[in-house]
Amino acid sequence: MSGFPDYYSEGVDMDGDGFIDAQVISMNYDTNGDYIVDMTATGIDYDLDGVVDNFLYSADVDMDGIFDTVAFQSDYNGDGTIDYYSEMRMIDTDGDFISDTLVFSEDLNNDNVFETVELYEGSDLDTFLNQESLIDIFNNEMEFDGGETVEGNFDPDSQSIDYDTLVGTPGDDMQHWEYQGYSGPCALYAQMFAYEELTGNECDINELIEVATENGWYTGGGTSMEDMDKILEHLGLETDLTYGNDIDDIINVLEKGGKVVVAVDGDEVWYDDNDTMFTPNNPNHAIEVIGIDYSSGEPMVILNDSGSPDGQGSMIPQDQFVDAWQDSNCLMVEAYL
Amino acid sequence: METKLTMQEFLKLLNNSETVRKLVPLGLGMGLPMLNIVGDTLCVTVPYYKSVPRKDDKTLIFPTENIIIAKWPTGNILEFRSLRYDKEYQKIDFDKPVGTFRHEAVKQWNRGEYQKKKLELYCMYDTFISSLFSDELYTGEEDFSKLLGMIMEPSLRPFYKKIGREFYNKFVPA
Repeated sequence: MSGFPDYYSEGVDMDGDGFIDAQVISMNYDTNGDYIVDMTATGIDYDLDGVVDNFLYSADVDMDGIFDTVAFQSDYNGDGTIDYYSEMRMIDTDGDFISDTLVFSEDLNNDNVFETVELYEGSDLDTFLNQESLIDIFNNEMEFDGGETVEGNFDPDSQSIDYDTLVGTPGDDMQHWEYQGYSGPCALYAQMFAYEELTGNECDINELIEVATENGWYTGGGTSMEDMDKILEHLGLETDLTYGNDIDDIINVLEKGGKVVVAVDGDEVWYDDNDTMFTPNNPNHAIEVIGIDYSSGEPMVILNDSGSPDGQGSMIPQDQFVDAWQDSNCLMVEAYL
Repeated sequence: METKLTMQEFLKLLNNSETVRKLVPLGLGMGLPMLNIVGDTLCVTVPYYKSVPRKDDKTLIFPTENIIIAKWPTGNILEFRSLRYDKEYQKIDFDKPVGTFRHEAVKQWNRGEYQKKKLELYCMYDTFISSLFSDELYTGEEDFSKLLGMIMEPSLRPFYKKIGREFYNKFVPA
């Protein structure tokens, strides 16, 4: 890298609570030493751990004085490894020195290979550029897997919690939640939450994946419904896997101090009210039910859902939950110490 | 054998079968069924693949990973295959997406419209199957082909063509 970079960094208050909660770093580069900036990079450290979580680059790749490429990379689970990279580059396809086509490419698993490459030209390019700003696209990519919190999340610090109408211990249980990214071990995550809540012992998901793979309870594709309790059994807990359950069965287990893992149609849990976002084939997904809140007119089921970035104590209406649960014939794993 | 079972009911029966519960990983959902007549038995091949929802029509579609072949209308499983462990598919990386949803042909449909069209397609399967058992001429072939071709995810076309060559060559030849 020749020439300069110039650099600045500042703390920002992203949620407006008066406290600095993220660090923004910005750099300008002169990569060919002609004293003209030809690349800029902006990074955000969302959790103030000193590691930049997202980077946005702009560059003049063909050195014609016009910035023609924008790239984005994200470490969405904060483990220090880049999980996602996308790039948008304008190219001149007809040799008239005017960029006419946008190439949008994504590397979804950090193997340096673009899994998706899309071209936009002519009216498609206009539509693409007019409908979505670059920043909007990048922000959307941040919500990489799973769903949005439709009805909000359980707030254990809320003064308005009525413990007489609350089933389970969601405030404690949600502390064990982790986000799985877009890989397939939802059933292993859900069992891990249950184990940690019951025993107080921390688990490493990679060790569980290793054990499950060795025993045939997990392939790269995921875990089958019949194997949804195997890791808990392996860890020494008492479990029972049954079908045809109802909400009262969940309540009974939670009231006895047990933990509940269920299989649901993930699409219905995440995006039931979203008309334009759905999957073509309604895949099943494992989640933990950590409580039910009967304090308002509409009972709300409280979940630890590893498949959603907002899945820590996420709440959905009971009717919506039951609809999603029925797709697995109401499969429930109950677990006890 | 005449039957009043619908394709939708048949798929539900299959999804609740012991084979699916034991062998199909969570996260995989059903693809479009393919029909094949072997002797006097109608066999239904159902592919399973993973899809991961994301915003802005960028839901990820992964390769077809499992296949179940079942007898119509009993749902008795004749065969289960995990392509992940199949020599013929060893060059496929099953953890890499092959495409996105909603694809161009269905982009104009919202959730409700898509489900309605899929149900319409399943009803066409029912009429087709009914004609097979009654030896009546099936007259809805053109509409069936058109709708099947629209709903089929383009990124999975190579898998569908390989798994159900005869069925897809007949109904979605392009």
